[in-house]
Amino acid sequence: MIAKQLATTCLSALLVLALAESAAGVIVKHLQLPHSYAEGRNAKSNRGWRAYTAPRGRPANNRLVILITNSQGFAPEITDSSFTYPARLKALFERRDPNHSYIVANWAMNGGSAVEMVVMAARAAAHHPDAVYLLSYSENFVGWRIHQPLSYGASNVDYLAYLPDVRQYLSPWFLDYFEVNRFHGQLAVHSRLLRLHDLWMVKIQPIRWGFVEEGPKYELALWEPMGDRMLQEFYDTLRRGLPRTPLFIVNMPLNRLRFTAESGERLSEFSRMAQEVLGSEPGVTVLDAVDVIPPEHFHTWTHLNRAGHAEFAQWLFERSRQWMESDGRLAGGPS
Amino acid sequence: MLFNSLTFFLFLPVVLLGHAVLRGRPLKVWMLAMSYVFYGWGHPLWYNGLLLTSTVLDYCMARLIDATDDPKARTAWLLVSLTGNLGLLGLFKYAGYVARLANRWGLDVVVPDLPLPIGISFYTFQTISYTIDVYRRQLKAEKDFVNMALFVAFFPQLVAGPIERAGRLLHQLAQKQRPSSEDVLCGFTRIGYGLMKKMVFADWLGLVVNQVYTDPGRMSTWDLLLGTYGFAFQIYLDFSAYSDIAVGLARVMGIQLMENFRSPYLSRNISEYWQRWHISLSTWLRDYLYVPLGGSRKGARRTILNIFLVMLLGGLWHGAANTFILWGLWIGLGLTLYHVYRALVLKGQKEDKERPLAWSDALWILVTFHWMLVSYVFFRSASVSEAFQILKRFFCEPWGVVSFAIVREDVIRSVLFMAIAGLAHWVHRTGIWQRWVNWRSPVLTGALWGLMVVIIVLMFAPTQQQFIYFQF
Repeated sequence: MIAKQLATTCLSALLVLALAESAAGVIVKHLQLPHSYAEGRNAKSNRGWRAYTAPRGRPANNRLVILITNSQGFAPEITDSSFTYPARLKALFERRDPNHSYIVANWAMNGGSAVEMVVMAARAAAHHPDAVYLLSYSENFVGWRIHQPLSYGASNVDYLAYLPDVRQYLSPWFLDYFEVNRFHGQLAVHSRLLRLHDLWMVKIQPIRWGFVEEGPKYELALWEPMGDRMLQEFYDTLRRGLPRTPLFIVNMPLNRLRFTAESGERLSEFSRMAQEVLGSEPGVTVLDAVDVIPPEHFHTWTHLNRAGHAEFAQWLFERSRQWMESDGRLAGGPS
Repeated sequence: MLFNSLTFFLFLPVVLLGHAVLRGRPLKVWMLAMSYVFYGWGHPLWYNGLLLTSTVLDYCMARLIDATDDPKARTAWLLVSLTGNLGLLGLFKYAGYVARLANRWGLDVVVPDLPLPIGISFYTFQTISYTIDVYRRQLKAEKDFVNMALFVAFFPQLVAGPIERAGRLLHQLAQKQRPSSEDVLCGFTRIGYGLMKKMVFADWLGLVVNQVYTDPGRMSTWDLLLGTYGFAFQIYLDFSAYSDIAVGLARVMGIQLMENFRSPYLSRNISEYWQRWHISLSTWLRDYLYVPLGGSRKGARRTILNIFLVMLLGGLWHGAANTFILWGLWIGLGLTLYHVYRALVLKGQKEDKERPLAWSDALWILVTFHWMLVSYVFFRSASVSEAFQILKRFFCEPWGVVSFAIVREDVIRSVLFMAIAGLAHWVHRTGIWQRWVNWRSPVLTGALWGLMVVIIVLMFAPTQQQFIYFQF
């Protein structure tokens, strides 16, 4: 008797779940999600990159450049995304090379850590870009954030790591160390209901951005061996999907006046360590942009103002010419 | 082990399978073993050792008390039990506090750094009540150690109550535990309801409350207000969710546990509130402390003294901190004022606390709720000075224009969730919900289960927090 009633109850519950799952599928399908290439910046201050969309087929005259970066590209202080350095870079590319249409995907994440950037590298591999830029500075590659599970910072990057076409490029060490084996994560990829939850949850978790014009000088965290490991992990992850695509590693501009004297000596640590760890790898170019922007063109100690974005785009463009002139391919690379 | 963890969802079917298959003594042994697995998850020796110590102590003392008619001997054995139980509780929960207090007074005492075993306050009070009941000859001492151990360790209510009485639970555990189909269906409905309250409502509110109370100095008065209202609902939803899950789990196994909450925020006075909030603790304090102290039978002064003493200990039961003491004293003050009001205005006439709500009760419900809201500032603040700073902001400083440091979405969601919780409170009070959860139609019950799962999946908070009362 109990078994029969329990079975009827469970069937009824499953029916409701199936109906809800179907309804969620319809809703998710019709949600206007931003495309991975479409948004110039993370306009609504959401934590994480929201675009889950699968790689598009691109026309032959189309070139894709993916920028993986922190809040410096996320640019909350720029009111119009067309003024950000990725948008300006696209314009410069297209002016220099009118035969091609360029997509400069601005995968910027506020508070992004190296852990999340590795997942974005795997995501980039799935998109088969013509060039990848890692734009960061040492803070994103050291400290407590790179010792937390991937799910620690609520973001959609966590979801990306469970997508099969992204996950295939992540190493077993990465999946294990950053606990990318959660039941919820596995389920979220297969359940529209959970997908809807994740979209809703991340959407309503914006970060309140506080601009600090003045205040105490910033102390840069010390580099640690784990930073080397994360740089290597980023490279290996990218190379699993993109064996020859050019990778530019850029130490982002920083406002030297806003850092302590001791930290000032370590502002280029990211590019220095990247050169040490990955400098001899094929297709890797390490650039140091720490002092290329004058202090008056910064909003904060790291964030550029509109003029700063324009200057940085120009600087980056000039250093990308070689790649452009080689038709976007390294010798012997896939066409 | 947390009720809202994946481990528990794997653990529960195993327990229920054993429960369905086994009969008689093997069933009791199975349930006892599973209760120890549940409690000792992650700390098997440490946690279970303490639990077993407490069980053995009260099993032996109750047998010794029951075996003699000599009042002195009975009292002596009771004192051994009380000293042992309260000694353990004191060592783990209050030794650090006392040592810090002594150091503040100029003594040089080593502050012990002992980890607080989860649920020690709950099972200690439960075992104490058993021994006292035997001492009072209200109960015969349990001869079967397995029954006694299961009474102390019964996993649904072990960690955060309800604090059960041996008179209710022990004989149920000792008898056949055969649930009816209604028990199973209603039990699971109750579990789902508890999980929904915890994982969706309490945990979302907790995120805002934590933000506000982590650094209250940087928050606007409106943030503090939102955080304090939020905490009032969070703690109710969190704690009552645990009780719902506990009652539901026990019912699935054919055991009836006592209800711990009955819409407390719709109480018309503090006395009624205290009879609707954490009922198992309030009745414990009444039966084993307030009444033995003389209750209200020894004149007005003694009644007030008893009230304050009981609430002081009620506060200390929650934790060894001055904030909890002030929380208890504030409620004690409320109870005293209510007693004075009853004596002077109502001329001592007894109020019918079960009478249906009327619109004319609205004012007193609001007064009672806001009295409790002040107590929650003490309860939630990290220190007494922080609590007074917050109260000063509320009562002595201008509030300024409405502005929040908390992001707008969090503010809207918090207000919405509190409104839903308030509505659910009213629905509970009317008895409609009880009719729903006791549906006998498997199809409708199944639909309700499905709906609750959908709500949980769609809305669960990003950070699942531990139940608040685990720390007590």
